[in-house]
Amino acid sequence: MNAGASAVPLACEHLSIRYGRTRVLEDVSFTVPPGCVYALLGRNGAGKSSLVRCLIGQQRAGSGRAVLFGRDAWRDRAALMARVGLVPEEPDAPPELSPSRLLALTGRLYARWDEGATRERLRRFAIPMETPFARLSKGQKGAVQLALALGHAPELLILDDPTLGLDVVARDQVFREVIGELADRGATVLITTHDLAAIEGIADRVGMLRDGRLVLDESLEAVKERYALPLERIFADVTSPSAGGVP
Amino acid sequence: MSERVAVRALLAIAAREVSERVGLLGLAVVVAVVPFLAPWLGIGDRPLLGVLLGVVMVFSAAVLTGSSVIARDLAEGRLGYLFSRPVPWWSIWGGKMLAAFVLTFVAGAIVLAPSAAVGDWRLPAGGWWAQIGVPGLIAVIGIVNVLAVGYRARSLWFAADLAMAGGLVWLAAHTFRGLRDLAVDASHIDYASLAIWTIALAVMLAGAAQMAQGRADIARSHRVMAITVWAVLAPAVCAYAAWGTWVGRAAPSNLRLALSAWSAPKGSWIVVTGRARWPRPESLSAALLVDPSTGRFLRLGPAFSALHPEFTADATRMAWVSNPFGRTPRLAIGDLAQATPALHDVPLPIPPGPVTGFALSPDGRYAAVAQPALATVFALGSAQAAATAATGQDRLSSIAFDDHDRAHLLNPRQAPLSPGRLDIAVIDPGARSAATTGHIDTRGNPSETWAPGAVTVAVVHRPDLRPSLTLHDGTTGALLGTLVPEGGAGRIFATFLRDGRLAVVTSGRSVTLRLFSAQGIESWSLEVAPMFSLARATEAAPGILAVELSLLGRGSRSDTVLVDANAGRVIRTETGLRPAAASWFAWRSQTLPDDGSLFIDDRGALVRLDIATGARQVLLGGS
Amino acid sequence: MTWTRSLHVDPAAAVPLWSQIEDGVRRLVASGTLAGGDSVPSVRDLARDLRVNPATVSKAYQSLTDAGVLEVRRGDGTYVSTRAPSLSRGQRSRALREAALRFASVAATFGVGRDEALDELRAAWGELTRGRKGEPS
Repeated sequence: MNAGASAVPLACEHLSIRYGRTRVLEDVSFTVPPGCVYALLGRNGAGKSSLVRCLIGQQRAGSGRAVLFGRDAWRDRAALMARVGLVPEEPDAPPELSPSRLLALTGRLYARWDEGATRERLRRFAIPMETPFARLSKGQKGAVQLALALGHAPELLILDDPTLGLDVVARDQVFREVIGELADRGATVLITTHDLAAIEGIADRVGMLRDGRLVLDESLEAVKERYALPLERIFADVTSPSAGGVP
Repeated sequence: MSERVAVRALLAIAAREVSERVGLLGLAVVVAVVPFLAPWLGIGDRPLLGVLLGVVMVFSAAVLTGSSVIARDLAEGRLGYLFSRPVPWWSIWGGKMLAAFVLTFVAGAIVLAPSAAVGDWRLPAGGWWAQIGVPGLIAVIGIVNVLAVGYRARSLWFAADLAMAGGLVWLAAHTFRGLRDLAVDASHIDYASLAIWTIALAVMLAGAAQMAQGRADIARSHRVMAITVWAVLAPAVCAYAAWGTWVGRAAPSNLRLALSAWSAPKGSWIVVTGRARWPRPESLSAALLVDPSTGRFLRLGPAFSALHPEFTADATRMAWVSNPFGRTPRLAIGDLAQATPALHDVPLPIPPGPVTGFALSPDGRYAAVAQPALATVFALGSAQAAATAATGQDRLSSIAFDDHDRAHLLNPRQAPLSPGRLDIAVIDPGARSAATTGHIDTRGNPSETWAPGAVTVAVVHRPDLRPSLTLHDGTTGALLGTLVPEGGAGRIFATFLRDGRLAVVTSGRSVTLRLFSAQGIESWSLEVAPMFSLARATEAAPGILAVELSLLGRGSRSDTVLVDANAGRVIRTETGLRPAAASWFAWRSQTLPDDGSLFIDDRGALVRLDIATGARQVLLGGS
Repeated sequence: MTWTRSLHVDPAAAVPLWSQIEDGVRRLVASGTLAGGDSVPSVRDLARDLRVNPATVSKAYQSLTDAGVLEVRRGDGTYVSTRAPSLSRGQRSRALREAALRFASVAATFGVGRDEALDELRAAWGELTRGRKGEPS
C-alpha cells in the first residue's frame, strides 16, 4: 500500500490545544484534498498559528492529531518535511546569515534541492543576496522564506498569515509565486489569514475559526452561493463574538 | 530520509553555529598572547598565568556556547526553521552540540597550546582526559544548556527544579561527608569520575529529549528536560546515599584487618578498629564494640581517634568521645549490661572546641575532658561541670583518676620543646575544686603515662632528642627516680602493670626490657632483642608482659616476646604477632591494661592468644 | 499581454470567477481586441496576472474551448479560434436566447422598459464593433 502517493495531503482530526486553562482550539477537524487551496480564516489570536505548529509536528496537540499524507505529523515529522514547505508567520531564519548563505545552509538540509530555481526566485524578488537576514524588510524576509520553502518542490505548501505587515506589491509577489507553484506542479496549499481580499481569488475551500472551533468548512463557491454575500460580510458575521453560529 | 543527508545536515548546522561565533576564537588568539606579555604586566609566574587563562577560556567558552546554541534559538522562536526541514531531531541536536564542543575545545587549545609548546606545562595523561577532562566538558556544556532553557522558559517549575537540585546536592554532600569521616577516600578520582560521567549523561539525555520531544515549544522543552535530568540524577544520588549508608554499616565480619583492639576489664567485650574488606572500600576504617562470644556488636563510628574508649572497672559501661577534634565532639555511653546493648549520647558540659584528652573514673561516676584551654570534670550524665582547671596548651593530655575520683593531669607552662615545668593539676568533683598540687621539671616535649589510681606518673622527656625517663609522685610530683638517664637509650616506652609496677622498654643498640617497682626500684633487666627495633610493651595477661618488636617500624610485621614479669625471664617469642592494645593509633592514653590477651597477626586478624599453650583463636579479620 | 489588464475580475462579486474570465475573453474577442489567430496567455501566466487559482483559469479556458472561441494547438499553446464557432443553428439559438433572457431579466428587475433596453443593446453593439475591422454594424 502506497499510502503516501494516494493519501490526502492534510487531514486534521479532532485537534484540541490547551495552554493551561485556555482552550485555544477545540475539536477542529478538516481535510485538504490534493491540489486544493484551503484558506483557514480567523481573527488574530484565534489559534491559527498553534494549529499550524501542530500540523507540521512542532507542537503536540492536547488531543486529536494532524495527519499529513496519511502519516502522523508529530511522529513522522522529519520524513514528512521533505514533502512540505512552510512559510511561518514570524520570520525564523538565522538573522546573521545573508540570503546567499541561507541558500547554502538550507540546501544542505534537503535530499532534493533546486538551487538554480531558488536563486532565480530570489532574483525575481529583487532580494539583496549579501545583506544579513535581520536587516531585510518584512516583505523581503517573507519572500526569502517563501523561496527557501519552495526549493525542494514541496507537494504541500503551508503559509501562515503570509500577508501580515506586507504592502500590496509584496503581497502580490507572494501570491504570484504561489500561483506559479499551483500551476506548475498542482501543489496543495493551506493559507491561514485574516485578510480575505488576499485569498478570495485563489482559495477553493475555506474554513473559518471562531473561539477555537471550526464553524465553517466548505468550498468557496458553495459558500458564496449559499450566502449570496461578499465573503467579507460572511466572515464578519460568522466570526463576530456575538454571532450565534452558522446560519 | 537517508542517513547521509541527516549527517550532512548535522554538519551544516554545526558549521553555521561555529561561523556565527568565530569571534570567540579571535578572542582566544588574543588571550593566548597574554601570558607572553607577563613580564610587562608585572606578573612573574607565566606558566601559572597561562594555565589559569586557559582554564578560564575553556570554561567561559563552554558556558557561552552551551547556553546559546540551543536555548537562544528556542527562546526566540527560531528552532522552527530547522524543524520545518526534513532533518531528524538528532541532526539538529548533534550539530549544535558538536559546534559547542568544537568551539570550546579549539578556544582552549588556542590559549593553551602556545604555553604548552614553550614547555610551561604538560598535558595531563590520557587517563585524566577520559575520567575528568572529557566528561567534565560535556557536563558543563550540558548543564548550561539545561539551565538556559529552564531559565528562559520562565516557568514556575524552575523553582521546583532548583529545590530538587538543592536537595540532591545536600544529600550527596551529606553522604560524602559521612564517608570521609569514615576515612573512605570519597574524593578518589574513580568516584569523582563516576559522578561527572553520571551528570554528563543526565544533561546530555535531557538535551536529546528536549530536541526529540520538546521541539520548538519552550515550555514543553523545559518540562521534558527537567523530568529527564531528575529521572537520572535522583536515583543516582539516592543510590549513592544508600551505598554510603551501607558502607557505614560495617559489621565485625566485614573487617579485613584489625588495626587495634582493647578489651573490657572484665567480660568479653572488645573495642576493635579496623579496615573494611571488599565489597566495601578498602580505605574504610571503622570502630566497633564487639562481643565475640555472642556476635553482638555496636558501631562506634570512625576509627581514627587518638582518644580511645574507656571502660568502667566492672565493664558494665563504656564511654567514647566521637569527633573529638571536630567542632562538636559528642560523648557516647554504651550500656553493656543490657540484653541488647546500645549507645546513647550524654551531655558534654564543656565549651565548644576540640577535645584533647578524656578519662572515665573506674567506678563510672565521673568523666574528665581536657581541651586546649580548659579541663573539665563532671558527673557522667550531668549537664553541668563539677569542677574545672585551666590547661596550658593545645596538646594531647593523659588524664588519670585516683581512688577518690579526683582527676590528675599535667599542664606545661612553656612552649612544647622548651625545658621548664609541668604543673600537676588535681580536679576534685566532689569538692568542686581544682588545685595545682605539685610540679615536675622537664627537659621539654614531655610525654606522660599515669599509673593506675594516679599514684605515680612516668614522664619521657625529649623523645625526639636523647630521651630520658623519670618517675614522680602522682600528686606532689616529687621525683622518685631517673629510670633512664639522658643518652641512655634511643627510644623509650613505659607502661604500668595493673599492680603499679612499671615496665620500660628501651631501644638502642639492643632492645632491653626493665621492670621497676611502684616506687621506681629496678627489679630486673632483660635484653629482649640484640638489635635496634621500635619496641613497645603491654601487660597481656596478669604478670605477663608482651614486648612488640616492630620489624619495619610500621607495625605491619611484628614479633612479640612474652616475658614473665615476676621471674624476669622470656617465656617465648610469638612470630608474626603484635599486642592489639599498644597499636600506633592508641599509644597515648592508657589507664587500665588490656586483659584480653588480644593480638593482631601479620595478616591483620584479631587473635586471642592462650599464653600457656600458644594457641591462637582468630576473632575477626585476616583476609 | 497588455489586454489582460482590461480583464477585470472581482473575486468578491457573486458571479463565479471562471465565468467572469470567460465573459471577459468573449468581450475582447467580440470587440476585436483579440483577433483570430492571436495567442492567449498560458493558464499559469494568466492566473499569475489575475491573481487567481489556475484551476479557475483552466475552467474558463475549457469552457471557451468547448464553445469554440479558443482552440488548443498541441505543443503550441492556446489561440483565438480563426473559424467561426461551429455551432449548430439550434445550439446558437439556444445560447443567444439564454443570453437575451439574462439581459431582459436584469433590465426588467430595474424597471427598464423595452425601448430603453433596446437602446442600451444598440449602444453596446456599437462599442464592440468600434474596434472591429470590416464588419457590418
